[in-house]
Amino acid sequence: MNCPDFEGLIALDVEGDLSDLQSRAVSGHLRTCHSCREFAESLKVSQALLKELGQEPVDEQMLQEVRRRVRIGLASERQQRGFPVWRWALGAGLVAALTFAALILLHHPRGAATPVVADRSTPANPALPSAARKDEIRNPKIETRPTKSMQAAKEFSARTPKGVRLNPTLPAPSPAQATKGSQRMPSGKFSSGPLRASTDNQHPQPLTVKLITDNPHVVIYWLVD
Amino acid sequence: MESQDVALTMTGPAPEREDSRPESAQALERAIAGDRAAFDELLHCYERRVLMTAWRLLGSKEDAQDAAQEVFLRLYRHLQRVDPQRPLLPWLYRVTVNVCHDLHRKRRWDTAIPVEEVDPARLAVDPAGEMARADQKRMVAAALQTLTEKERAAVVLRDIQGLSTREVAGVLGSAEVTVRTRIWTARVKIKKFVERLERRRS
Repeated sequence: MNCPDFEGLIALDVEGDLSDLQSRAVSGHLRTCHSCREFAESLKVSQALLKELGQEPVDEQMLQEVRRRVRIGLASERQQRGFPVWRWALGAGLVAALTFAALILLHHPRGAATPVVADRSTPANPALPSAARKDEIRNPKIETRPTKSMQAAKEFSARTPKGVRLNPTLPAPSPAQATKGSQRMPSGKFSSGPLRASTDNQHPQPLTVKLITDNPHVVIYWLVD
Repeated sequence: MESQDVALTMTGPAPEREDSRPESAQALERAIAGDRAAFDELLHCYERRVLMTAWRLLGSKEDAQDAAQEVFLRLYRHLQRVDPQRPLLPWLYRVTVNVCHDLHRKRRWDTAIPVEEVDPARLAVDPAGEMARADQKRMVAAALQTLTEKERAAVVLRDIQGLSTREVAGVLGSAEVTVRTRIWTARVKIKKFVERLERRRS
């Protein structure tokens, strides 16, 4: 071992951090090496100063300031424990949900369209390209599907000559009026039947609006009076 | 630091120190049970040590106050997870070292101030030539700031707070051999720093 190797050992030995064996080896070297002895003496001085740093009195004002800050911090912590942040978040969420529900109810006209959501098992357009699907989402395709009563009315109107009034509440047309049509039909046939279809606007037929959504399993129908 | 995570249960040796006193252990148990007066007792019992350690680690009284405040707030937050059967002081030392490390990171301080950047004139050296003891201590305090964070933590706990090398290793979560190396390196650096300042002054 030469002197640089002893440097660390001497630095530990001045505070008694070495084992007896190591300490004896250091003492032996110090007896023979003047520079290491000086090094050790100098270390003892700086170590004494270092230890004195720990014995310096702590200013009472500093301690009081720490206590004051800790108490303020503790008061804040206790307040947060009493009513933690998650409770605030939950409350705010509930208020937002209630407001949203109230807005929906206010803007929903009573007796207008009645949406009917139907589950469709087969996908609508499975091979539809993504761009087209996006377009479908933006501009939903609205199909009108005639109801049974509408179909019956259509067929009936096709069989009915022009100018014939189908409403049984109205007076039956005179034979002269009836001959104005392309084909003459017996008036009693139309006036006494249970048929309610009418070509005028007094009893409008319900209109079914079918809305195809992006979800192939969801189709929305509106039944409009 | 070896591990910056706050270890809530000390794995190192149980030090035989002032916090082994039965009254501080009782205060800890009462504080865990929710006794606010007991927490105040703990604060009074450990505030000096925490503040002094933080002061020497950070080199500034104001920062040390910030650190001490944070240490006790962390103690309060983690009271339920502190083992009352073990001494509290090593836990507090570890949290203090971690809090000081966090403050260093936040303020983007460099690990160590180069010796060349320390102006001996700023250390209020005695003009007569013979340095007063207070000035010498200031010089050593300045020397502490030239160490790396790890070296500083090791030497502050060992030489200023008086923990054994084994206890320091337990607090820092490092191997004893590693801590021993940091300690002797720090001691030699401090000695050389003081010598250089004296030479520059003369």
